[in-house]
Amino acid sequence: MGGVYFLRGRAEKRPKEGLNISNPEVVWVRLKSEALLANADSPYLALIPYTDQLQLKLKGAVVWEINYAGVNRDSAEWEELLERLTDRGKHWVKRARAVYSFTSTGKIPDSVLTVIARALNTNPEVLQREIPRRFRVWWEGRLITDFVTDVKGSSRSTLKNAWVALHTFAQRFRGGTFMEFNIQPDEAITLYRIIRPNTPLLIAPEEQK
Amino acid sequence: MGVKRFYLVVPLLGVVGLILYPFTSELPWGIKVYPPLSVSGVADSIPLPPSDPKQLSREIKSLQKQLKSSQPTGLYIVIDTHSNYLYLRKADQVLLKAVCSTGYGGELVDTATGRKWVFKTPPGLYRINSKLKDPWWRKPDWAFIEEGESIPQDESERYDPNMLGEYALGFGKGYFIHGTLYTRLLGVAVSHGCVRVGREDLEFIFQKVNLGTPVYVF
Repeated sequence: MGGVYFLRGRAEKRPKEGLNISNPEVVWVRLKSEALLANADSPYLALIPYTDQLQLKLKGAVVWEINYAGVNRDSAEWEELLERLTDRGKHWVKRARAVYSFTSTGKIPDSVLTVIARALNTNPEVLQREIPRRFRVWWEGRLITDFVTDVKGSSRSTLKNAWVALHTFAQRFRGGTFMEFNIQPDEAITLYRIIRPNTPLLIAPEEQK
Repeated sequence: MGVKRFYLVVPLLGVVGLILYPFTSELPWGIKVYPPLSVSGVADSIPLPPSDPKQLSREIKSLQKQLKSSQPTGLYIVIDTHSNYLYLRKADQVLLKAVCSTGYGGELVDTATGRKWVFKTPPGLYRINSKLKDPWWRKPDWAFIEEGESIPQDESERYDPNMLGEYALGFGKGYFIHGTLYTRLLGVAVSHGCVRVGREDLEFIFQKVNLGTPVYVF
């Protein structure tokens, strides 16, 4: 199911300003942000804390959605989460900064695909898709998301994995939000392939109607 | 004594630096990092909201209307060329998730004429514009060139009654959702741009979908 984990840090020490998500100016910025994304040709992600869902959307239409274990909406953590995700209501779109795959299935040689590739005059690797078992995305504003599948995979570099894990651990002391999503292997293939430089993640706190 | 101290201090500083690095940098060293689009992303390109409350309210309503109109109201098809899945769904319900084959992305050049084809399922928003039962495939020129055969002069030599399966749904620019003889390859991007699906899934889609149904390809 995955979930939301706060990386405790300086963010908690800042004075609380409070975020009114129904403030007309905040609503305007959020709607304008989504309208820009819905007009674009490439897919985008929409995080909806209200329904604890992550959606993949294209031109305003939902492609697929996954649920995660969110935070209680009556708790102080809920407000904290929204404030962190939206930079206190100023930015409703976060861009991907970096992606790292911890483990993946790799490309398995397939004799049938080799024959097909020969017929198509192409490299068999082009026809194969590796499935990332776990990959991490760093978004603007200290949001880190992990996407996890239940396929078996092998580690690309144990040392590098440890380094990245250590780095994320250290981010606890700087404030930040860590979210984990359990997804299907085919969803992982899609996400890993579409999350590219500046892929947008829209924060949509209200129920999507 | 000074040299000894130097050899002691430099590695020590290195170790301290290594320990402190994860605490100081937002992104780990050694992974590919994308440069930011701007200081704080797309929000920078958004102008400030109108200061007049009435104007603000009008624009909010207009934006809500615009977003609502961009969302499909009934059934729609999504074709994911990355994982080779076709979804038949409504906004809040998935009716079918079918494994499919989309364009493999390769190129073919006719050395005789210099004509070039790219076998890709083009991303974008389309609509179902034809529904055909027992369709025949009219083999285009590339199908012969790819096989190393000469292009027939006789039009009747182009037709193949078996290749497309029992149904075909056109969604523009000559692209179709149709059946396949090569069911073993469903899930792999091996087509020339059309979307191949299995027999039962194709029948289900054909029965559910009407002309005009939106098709989202990405």
